[in-house]
Amino acid sequence: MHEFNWLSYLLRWVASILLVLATYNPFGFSYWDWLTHDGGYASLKVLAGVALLILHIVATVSTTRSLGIIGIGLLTAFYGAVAWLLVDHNLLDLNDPRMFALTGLLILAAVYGMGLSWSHIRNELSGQVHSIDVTNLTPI
Amino acid sequence: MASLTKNPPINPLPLVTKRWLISAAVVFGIYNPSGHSYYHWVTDGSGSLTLKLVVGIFLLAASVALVRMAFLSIGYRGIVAVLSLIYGSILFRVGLGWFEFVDVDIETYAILIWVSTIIGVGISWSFFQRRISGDKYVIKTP
Repeated sequence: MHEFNWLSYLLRWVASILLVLATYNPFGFSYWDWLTHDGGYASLKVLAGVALLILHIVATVSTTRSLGIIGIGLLTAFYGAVAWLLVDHNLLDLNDPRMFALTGLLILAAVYGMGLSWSHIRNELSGQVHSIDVTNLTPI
Repeated sequence: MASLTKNPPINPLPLVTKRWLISAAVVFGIYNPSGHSYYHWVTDGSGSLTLKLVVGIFLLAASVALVRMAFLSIGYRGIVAVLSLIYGSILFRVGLGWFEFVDVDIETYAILIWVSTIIGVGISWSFFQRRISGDKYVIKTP
């Protein structure tokens, strides 16, 4: 039986970072910039946009399901505090608007990564299983 | 066979020990009377405030997660059961003649160990339930 280990968590985290930064990043090389600055390729843009949208919905819905409002709040506060710690020790310069945007995006990606992993971690740690009631399907 | 229906044997001692150590690390990390704890570090007044904030939020999130998982597994009845076992073990040691009941002095360390035992047993319980009766503890997400 496959076990959830650190590598599994790392993979989900890296995938979330790739997803978030591929959608938008402040360095001008993202789906958003392709959409707004380049002409043509309308069909390919729609295809890529729908694919990204699906991935974002999967990530958002699983994060909301597994972590809940309290978990997302605690996790955002934790990553925000880590960012503040880095700023305090001059390792991160938030006066640069690009770094500010990147920090926000990386926090979002980290929340996604934990949201995708938390059901596994909870199952490994406590044996409890998250479930989705598909008989009365709610929007999230 | 779907993985949800699998019921592999468990190894109780390392299972409980690992989870008990995790909960004890969080409980004793937040407060213990030896003077080396998060509480003492914060009230000390020196050092990096932001590092204290990071560690504080981490400990808060960890304790919320652990307490919620433990409480969902064992509930009030489980807490009462574990406390009864602890009380029973004290009475048993009195019965063996190790010490008199009037000499029992509840220290802060004892309470911290009891709290971490309750959380550790709570986190481990669903593995025992699954092994014994095949029941899973399922959380219905919104």
